[in-house]
Amino acid sequence: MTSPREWQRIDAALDEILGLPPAEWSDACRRLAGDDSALRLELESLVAQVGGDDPLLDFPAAALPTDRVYPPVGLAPGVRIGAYRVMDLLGVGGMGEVYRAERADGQFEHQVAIKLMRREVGDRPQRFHAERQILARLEHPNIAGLHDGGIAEDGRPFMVMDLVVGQFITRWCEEHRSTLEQRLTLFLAVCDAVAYAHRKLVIHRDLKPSNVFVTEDGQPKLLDFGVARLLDQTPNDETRHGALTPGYAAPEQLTGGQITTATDVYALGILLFELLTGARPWGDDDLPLGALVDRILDGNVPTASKFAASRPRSPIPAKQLAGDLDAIIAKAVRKEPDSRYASVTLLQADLNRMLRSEPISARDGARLYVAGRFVKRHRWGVAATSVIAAAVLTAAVGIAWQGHVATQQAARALAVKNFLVAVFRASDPRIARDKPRGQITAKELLDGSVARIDHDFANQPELQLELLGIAAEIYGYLLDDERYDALMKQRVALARRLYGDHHPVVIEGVITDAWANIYSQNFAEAKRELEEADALLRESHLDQSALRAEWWLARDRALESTPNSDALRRLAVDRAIVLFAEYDPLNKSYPAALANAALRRVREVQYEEAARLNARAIDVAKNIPDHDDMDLALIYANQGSVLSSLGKFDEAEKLDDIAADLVRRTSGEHYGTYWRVLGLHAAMLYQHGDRVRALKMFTDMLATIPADWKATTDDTRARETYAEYLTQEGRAVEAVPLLEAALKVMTERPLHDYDLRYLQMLLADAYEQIGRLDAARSSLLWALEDYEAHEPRGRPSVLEAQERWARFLIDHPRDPTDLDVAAKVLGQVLEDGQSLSRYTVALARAHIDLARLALGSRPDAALLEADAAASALRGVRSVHDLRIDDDVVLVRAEALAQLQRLPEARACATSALTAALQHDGPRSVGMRRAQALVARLGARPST
Amino acid sequence: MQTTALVHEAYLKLLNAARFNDREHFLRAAALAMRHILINHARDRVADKRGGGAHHVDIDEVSEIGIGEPEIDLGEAHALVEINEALGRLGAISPRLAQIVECRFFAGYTDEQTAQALGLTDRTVRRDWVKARAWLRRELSVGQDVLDANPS
Repeated sequence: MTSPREWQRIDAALDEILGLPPAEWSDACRRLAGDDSALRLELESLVAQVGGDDPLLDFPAAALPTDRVYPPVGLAPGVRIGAYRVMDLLGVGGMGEVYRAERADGQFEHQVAIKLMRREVGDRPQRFHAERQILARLEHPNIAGLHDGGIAEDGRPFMVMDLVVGQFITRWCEEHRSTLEQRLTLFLAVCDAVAYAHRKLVIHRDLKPSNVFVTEDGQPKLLDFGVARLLDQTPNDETRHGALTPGYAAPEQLTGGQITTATDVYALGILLFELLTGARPWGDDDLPLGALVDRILDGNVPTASKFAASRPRSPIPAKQLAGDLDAIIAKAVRKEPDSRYASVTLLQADLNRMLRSEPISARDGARLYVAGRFVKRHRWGVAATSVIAAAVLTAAVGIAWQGHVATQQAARALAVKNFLVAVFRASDPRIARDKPRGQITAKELLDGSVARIDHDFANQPELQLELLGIAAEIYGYLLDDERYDALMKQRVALARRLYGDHHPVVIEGVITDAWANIYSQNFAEAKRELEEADALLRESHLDQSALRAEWWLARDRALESTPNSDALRRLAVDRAIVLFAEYDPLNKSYPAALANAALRRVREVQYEEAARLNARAIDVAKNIPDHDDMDLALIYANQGSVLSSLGKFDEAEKLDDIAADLVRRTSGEHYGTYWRVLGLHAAMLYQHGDRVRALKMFTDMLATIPADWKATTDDTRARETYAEYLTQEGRAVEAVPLLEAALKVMTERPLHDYDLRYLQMLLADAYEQIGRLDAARSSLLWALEDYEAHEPRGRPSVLEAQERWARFLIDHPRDPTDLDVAAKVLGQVLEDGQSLSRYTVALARAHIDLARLALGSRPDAALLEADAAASALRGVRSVHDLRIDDDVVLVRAEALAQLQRLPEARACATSALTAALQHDGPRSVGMRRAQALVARLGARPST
Repeated sequence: MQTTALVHEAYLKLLNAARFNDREHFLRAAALAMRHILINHARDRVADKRGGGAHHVDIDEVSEIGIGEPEIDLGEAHALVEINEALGRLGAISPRLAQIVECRFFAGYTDEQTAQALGLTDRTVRRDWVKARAWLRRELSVGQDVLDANPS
């Protein structure tokens, strides 16, 4: 065997030899080899093989027929599939076999086509049926109807379709020698069918001549809609592409990009090319696959007229193709999906214009304006338990409904632009003349122009809808909620009047109303409206759409007041995610759905899963070109909390910083959410032991709240967090008024049901500190009962409430039985909290409480409990208040003291005091207790 | 089930799964992919994995009846496997020549596409192809001679 080095000699020699005319090769071999006979042999034997024909190597490998006959062992005539009886085999394709069949019971006279598919498709029967149902809803004269389907006994799925007798469109045109006009008419009918399917949110993905039949009476019929997707069994939904026919595949189908309606536009362009020139643009039909793919991705579709001119038997003279048709085809087959016709209807429009000799749009390079989104009005709340921030991100009120792109989009774009320009040109006499230009507010300008919408565009309702939406959006940005609402209502009313209830704008309006009710806690009303929207969605065949996703988001939120609804809420929000991912991954509510799903997981103490969902939400949000920074900020803040629960303090801090920064940048510092996020960050710092930084952050936060700020939920919550901190520091006197004010605001405008009970717990702490024990007791009891009523047993929040109650009873027993009750409650806490002990300090605290109960009578038991507390605390993963550690040490010290193990007791007490000096407020309970104990034991604090 | 369709699918799946830095990378990877798929397919045919036809369909009580007499000519499948093995040996001697075969033969690229994929000039590609082809032909024919010389 030759070695690589030896080969280099041979290689060099060959280069020289082959550079000479063939007659001299033999001599050259001899000459170059010299007396190396082996080399000479080598050279001669190689040179002998040059030239000549080689049936194998001279043709691409893929062209080799590696199996000559590969017949399907399919179904024999007479076999039954479902309710049908197979008659004969019509053909075999890449996806399966197609048979002609008739009804077995002889009920109907007509025959059908049954497509029997590959086995793997049957491995996921749910998906097959779901897809089938979507396809079955396509009812259009130019689409072969899908009637039935199922899974045969051997696991192979089948679909029963209209039997279409005819020819491929290309062959049909060839045989009928169709003229240009006739071909275009057929093509436009095909476009109709595709546009219809797009309105139903079905993309074909595999348009090609063999999928477009023309019947004897000249009717085009499209086959295999969306079937290509069905066949692609890739488990990851987001990367399914299923392009089976590379020759017609759009670049994004080959490179794993997103499949959109533009993908079908591309295929239509190629089809049109072939229809008009008689051949496919990529040269010979048996181009090797690799080369073909390379051409599609990198090459250019030739100009149709030039291509036709170069072919001897082109069906349409090149002259007729030059100009407009060239441009139209070129625009349809651009590599970038965004550069093609944005919809099939636009392609049709250009073709129609061409036929009527009007100027077409393909020839100007302007990018068409895409209908703007209606901005959401955000009413987010960042609610909190001490560690977890739960932000509710609302659904987008505006939705880009794909199917309703009107045909006059170009005209609309222009009108919209003019409207907006007019707004700011302030040429409207209705705007106050007495104010100099610069002093007119944006609102006033907008007000004047909005009044004109009804009048100026009375004959163009679609345009009115659009403009109303845009104006509303602008009001939203100007923070004029009233006007926003009014305009949106006007828009809905208009849509309803014109199109009835089944228009997406109307349905969207119903969902918006539901949201409004949710915010005012009118859950019953909200539910009713969602039911209404539900029916409308189903009737409008919009069950598979982004609008339905919005509906699910609202449904999740509407279940807030329903007890034991966690599973339902989770289902709802997960559905929303799936739908957004499928139908509108750039929808601004998609990250909200993910973040809310994370919230659901947080409530069920599944922090890892929550972290994953939040991470995904962040990715998705960043992917959306005009994404909402506020939403993103909240997601960051939430993720910070989740990471904090997972014990990842440093990462959590980083995210908190990002969140605060984003909020500040989007809305400035004078914004409730900003303070809220800062408050949470400060609270986390405090728990971590960093008193100084926490205090600074709190004070900074408070300083940015303007004195005249009208109390809203956000700043209220920020102050609430600050109040919590104050109580910890021993400054409950300052905390109480803040908390009482918060209570007032929360009662009027609660955002979540857990807001109030958490607040009551904080109040109890503060009241206790200032000595108002009765008030403390009743607040605590109220909170406990509310927790137990609304949240499942064993949840950290419930455990914490129970432990707190027990602790209160121990500290301030009114009744001799109180201590027994406390012990029982603590026992319950320990039992219920076993599984979630990683995420709550309630168990550790319970042990401390039990230790304190045992002090006096059973100090050894107390010591055991103290040890148990320490152990429990070690097992807690979440970032928690480290002052609890000090409490453990303190109670340990007390137990040791009682056991007369004084040196150890003193050591513990000292270390507790040292710790307290580091991170406890000077007047805090923790500090005072440590000091008292040290004094009692006669220990001396170190340094 | 059509062979080409399966090949198409496998190829596209492979393409879709990867991300490419540039066209060269894509072309090279695609050529390699093509080689793998074709050879796997050929091997399967040779090893009779797919059997004499498509899936047997058992539906209801009717047993499977073939529609045509399965008749498989495995000559070309064998040839591909042999070429592949020879190519392996060539790769040990000259990796560049083997890559050129991959591009030109397995992927069916033109000289220009091959040159682009491998970062060479057209001229080098043409020259190298001549050499590689000669080497392969010699390699494959040697086997043939041996066979002829020893009729079994």
